Amino acid sequence: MLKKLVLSGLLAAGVACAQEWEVGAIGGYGYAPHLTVSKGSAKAETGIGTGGVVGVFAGDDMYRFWSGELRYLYRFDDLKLSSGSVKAPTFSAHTHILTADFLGHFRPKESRFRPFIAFGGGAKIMVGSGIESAGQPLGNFVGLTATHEILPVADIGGGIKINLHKNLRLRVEMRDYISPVPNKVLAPAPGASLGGVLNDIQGMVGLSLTW
Amino acid sequence: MKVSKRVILALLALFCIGGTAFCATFGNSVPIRGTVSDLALDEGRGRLYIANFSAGRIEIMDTASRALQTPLLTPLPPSAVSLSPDGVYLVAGEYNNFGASTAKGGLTIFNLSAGTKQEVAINDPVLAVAFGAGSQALVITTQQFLLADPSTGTTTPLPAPVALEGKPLPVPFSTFPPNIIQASTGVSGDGQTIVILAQIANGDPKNAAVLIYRVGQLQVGVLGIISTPPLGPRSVSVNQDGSSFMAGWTLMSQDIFGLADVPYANGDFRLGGHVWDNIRNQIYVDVPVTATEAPVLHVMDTDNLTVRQRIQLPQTMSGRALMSSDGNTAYAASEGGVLVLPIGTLDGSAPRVTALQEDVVFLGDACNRQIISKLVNIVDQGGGHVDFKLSLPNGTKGVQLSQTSGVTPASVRIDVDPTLFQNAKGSTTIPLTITSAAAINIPFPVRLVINTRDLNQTGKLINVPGKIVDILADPVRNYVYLLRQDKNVVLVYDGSTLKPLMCGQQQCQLRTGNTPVSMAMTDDQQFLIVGNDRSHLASVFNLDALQADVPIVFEDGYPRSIGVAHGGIWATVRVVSPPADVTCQGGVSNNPLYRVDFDNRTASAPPALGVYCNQVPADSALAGTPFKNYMLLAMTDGTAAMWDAGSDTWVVSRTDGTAASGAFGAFGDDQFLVDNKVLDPSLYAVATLESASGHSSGMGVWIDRNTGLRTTNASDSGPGTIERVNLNTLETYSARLTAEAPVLASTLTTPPIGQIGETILPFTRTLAMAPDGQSILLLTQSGLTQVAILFDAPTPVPMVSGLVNAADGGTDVAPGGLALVHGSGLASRSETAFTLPLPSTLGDACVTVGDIALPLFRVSATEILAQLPFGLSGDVPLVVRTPGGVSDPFTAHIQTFAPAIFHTGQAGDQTGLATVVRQKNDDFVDFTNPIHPNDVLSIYLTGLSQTSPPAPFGDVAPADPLSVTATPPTVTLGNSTLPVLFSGLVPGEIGVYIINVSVPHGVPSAVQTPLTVKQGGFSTTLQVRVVNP
Repeated sequence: MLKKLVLSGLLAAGVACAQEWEVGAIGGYGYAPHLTVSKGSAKAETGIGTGGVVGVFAGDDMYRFWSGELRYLYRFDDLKLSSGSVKAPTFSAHTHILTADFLGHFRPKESRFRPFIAFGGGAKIMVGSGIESAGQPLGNFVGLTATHEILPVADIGGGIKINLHKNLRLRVEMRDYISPVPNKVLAPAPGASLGGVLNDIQGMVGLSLTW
Repeated sequence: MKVSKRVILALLALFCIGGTAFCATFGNSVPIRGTVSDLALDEGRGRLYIANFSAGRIEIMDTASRALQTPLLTPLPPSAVSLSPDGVYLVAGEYNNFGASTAKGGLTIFNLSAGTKQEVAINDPVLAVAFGAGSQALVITTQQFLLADPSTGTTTPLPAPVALEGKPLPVPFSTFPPNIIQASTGVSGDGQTIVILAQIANGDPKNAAVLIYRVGQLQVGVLGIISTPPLGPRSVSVNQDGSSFMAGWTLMSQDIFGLADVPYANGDFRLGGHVWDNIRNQIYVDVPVTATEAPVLHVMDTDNLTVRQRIQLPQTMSGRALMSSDGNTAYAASEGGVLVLPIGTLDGSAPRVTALQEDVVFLGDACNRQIISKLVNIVDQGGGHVDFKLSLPNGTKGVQLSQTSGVTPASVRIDVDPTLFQNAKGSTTIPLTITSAAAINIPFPVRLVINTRDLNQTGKLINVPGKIVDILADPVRNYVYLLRQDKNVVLVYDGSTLKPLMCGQQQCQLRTGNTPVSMAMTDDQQFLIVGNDRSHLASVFNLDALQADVPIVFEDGYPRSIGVAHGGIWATVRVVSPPADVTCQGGVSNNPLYRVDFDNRTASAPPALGVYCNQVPADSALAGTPFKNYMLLAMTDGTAAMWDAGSDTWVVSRTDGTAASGAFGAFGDDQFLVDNKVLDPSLYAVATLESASGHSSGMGVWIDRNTGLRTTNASDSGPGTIERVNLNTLETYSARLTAEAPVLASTLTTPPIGQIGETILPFTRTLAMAPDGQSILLLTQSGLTQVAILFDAPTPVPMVSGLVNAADGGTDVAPGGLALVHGSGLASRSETAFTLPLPSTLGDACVTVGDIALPLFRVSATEILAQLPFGLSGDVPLVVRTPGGVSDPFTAHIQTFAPAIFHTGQAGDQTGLATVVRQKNDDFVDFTNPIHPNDVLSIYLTGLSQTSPPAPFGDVAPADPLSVTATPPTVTLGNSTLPVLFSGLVPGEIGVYIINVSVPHGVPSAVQTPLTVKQGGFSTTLQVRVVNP
């Protein structure tokens, strides 16, 4: 799936080669609803913390209402784990996200304001970079682990592009990057279960050059 | 030809056998054809000017070659000599105290730059001449105090409030300047203060005057001193700023008279001298105890004259001594001339042999009757190779030295056969004497303590070297204070662990005056007061800060026993100047009791003690009652007196008529103990406690305040006895023998060593309740003995139910491993060892495996942690012995190897973690700290058996060389074999092994992977989490 998505994104970009190009930087803030880990009747909450996200993207307006783009994001997302008033110390982590997306616009590309929806997919690499410690609080639920794992990711979202100038474009958007639970970085302890998907909702503002 | 240094040392040792004349001494003596009255050092010209009194000239000694040059002649006998600060003028004072002479004194002023001299006539004999930092010399004659200007030869008189004297001339043969002139001078390091010790003109040798002159002032301060013995030697040493000085045998400050005394001065003006070392903050003192003893230089502290070293001199100092400005050389007048002492070498190369240990303790017990070996380290403080000889008292049996002579540094093994001491059932102390032909010092002997307690004896021995004369518990701060008399300190111990309290890197010690005798805490428990028998003060310490506070001054004498009750602090005093207003039956009371004004830090003797004469022998003792409502005064003639805090008077006194000593104190407000006598509130003896168990030593009150405690001593080398006192029937009960005897005055009284003071009161306080109330502390032969609060609780017969390793609790145990003995009645109390090597008796219990006593870490009624012996495997009987009896033998299956990983790790709220540590984060491996590729792991375990070289049994493994396992283990992680980087004992630990392994790159991730340690067919496995990457 990952391979297909990437290829189709590249294909789309190739098709659009003769069209209007766009390269920009983007940044914002991400929020991920917690995951629930259970062990018997006991439960704890884990996941990734809110944190900044920065990245770059490149795309092309292939058609009057459709465009495609490639995007790399670096998400600051320390791992979190808590149960009631008990919290594990912050465990440093970050995620690399690489996606290819289709963007459907509600206004033609000549418009100054172009609301759009986006969907696509790719891969994310979660990296736990904190210092492991024996006796980590709530270690009987989840071990916050200094390792990395590669996960498929799908994303969906929308926003608006604003042409500020002939070659300068602003965009405001919201995306939800949806991936499986990272159970190597957030390793469920023996007897504990951690299921579901990980949503990572990011609100971002981007600035891009077009030609 | 090359001759080794060791051969030379051996030859020196041979020469020394013939007598001390061939033994090493410190420094050189330069003979003077005449007699020396004073010295002046001219560092600019490299000269020492030596006033040669009887030859009538100033000798000039070249300080480099020590050769005498052409002297400077004086018209009259030179009594004093001093060099101006600019080095131009040398002023000689002259003493021509012949009865018929009209010119009895004078000055000769030598201009050393111009080569001229000037005579100045003075009517009176000159006693002292001294330059400070000013341009004028202070000149003291028998009648006048003058300032002399050496450039003009004019003198300016200063007020002279006291007339001084010297001996008239002529004098009989063999009379020397200090006995004639009777004066000496010292100048502070900054040159601003001149101190002169002289004789007051009334013919009494006990009446001296200390003259203090501040440069630039127009008057001389005079302090009259009456001393017994007379204030000899006639030598004065002053510190850098003139705030403290030593005159004769006493140390003074400008604020406090009599800071500390040299304990055993004989008062001879000629014999001895001293010099202050402002660089090292020490005083070098030669004050002979007797006129005939070999000369010894004592290196003393400048605040309380604590003796640090004793150095052999070629001659006795005699009066004036000087120190070079760089502190490297001292010049001292001596019996035959001048001593040149290379003081700087005392910091370095001067050969001084000493033992690193003060005490060496051998603990035998009912389980351990094998030879006990200990090491004593003989070193040269100068860092060199110096000969030494070791000797034991004649007739000593059961103690063998691996060598009785040798060259430093050396570790000498001392083997003690406890069977030869087992009948003592207490502690035998034997001095190990160290001598050396090449060393300049007189080493302090090492005390060998050999304890051979039996099963029925109780208490844990805690070695405290030195002469401990008093004990106090501080429940407010959980401290225990021990008064060490020979070092003039209060040792502060933690009340729970009974280990020395640390203040930074050093043990907390409170420095007292000289020869401290007793302690007391103030009523508010904020201050500790210490009476000192060689200081005119009681030391005071702020206990919260553990710092010295303003002391209490006793101008008339020396405080000894201090008693505290509500609103009153009293002190017995060795009075030397009885106050005239304290009388008894028409005569002056020669030794009254003093009351302390703590706010003003003074003490005074009231004219009477209520209706009683204030006459109290100095060896009496004071003790407040537990609730501080009354105070007991006990005297050796059987007299007792009581102070009532409520009425603020001495309300009763009664003489029993029999001599008393030993225990004294109060069980409560209404019951007192003096020796064996229990006294009621009227001090009437209402009961006599048994004396069959020995002489009374200490007493106290149990925590419930309803039971008394008492200790006795039948023999110093035997067991002691602790027993309860029923305060209703006034009978003793529950007597129990202690591991060693409590001290008595006779125990503490030993032959004095040089000028180390010793004052032992006949009444002894040797018992204190531990601050936490959980045990009883006794002052005993080797230091402290800790006795359980329920020492008399019945002890069941021990029964062993199992033996497991102390790592994972498995039943596999191996030689040298740590093991847990399970059972019941295994010890009469819980106790943990904190001395090394580990004791074989703990909590009054001992354990043998195949007749080998096990070193014990901790004991309780149900569990004993011990180390198994190396080299013993198979099925062997394990037996536990307690006062309750001997257990039935338990068959211990000791395997050749039994690797077992400890589960003693603790992290966060997790306990019982396996002791596998990732070196990357120095943390235990567990689910949240998994193993990663390339990790280096340290696995701590026991049961790896023999090492190479063999490790000590019951003692820590050495760091150099490391003890490597004789049979290498293998370690696997899943299917991967982990390279072993090291396998052996952990240095500094007992029975704990470590295996360091590295984790290869390709280990697969798994939540649970077996980590297996295998040795000689025996293995242990642990499940661990591996994460890759």
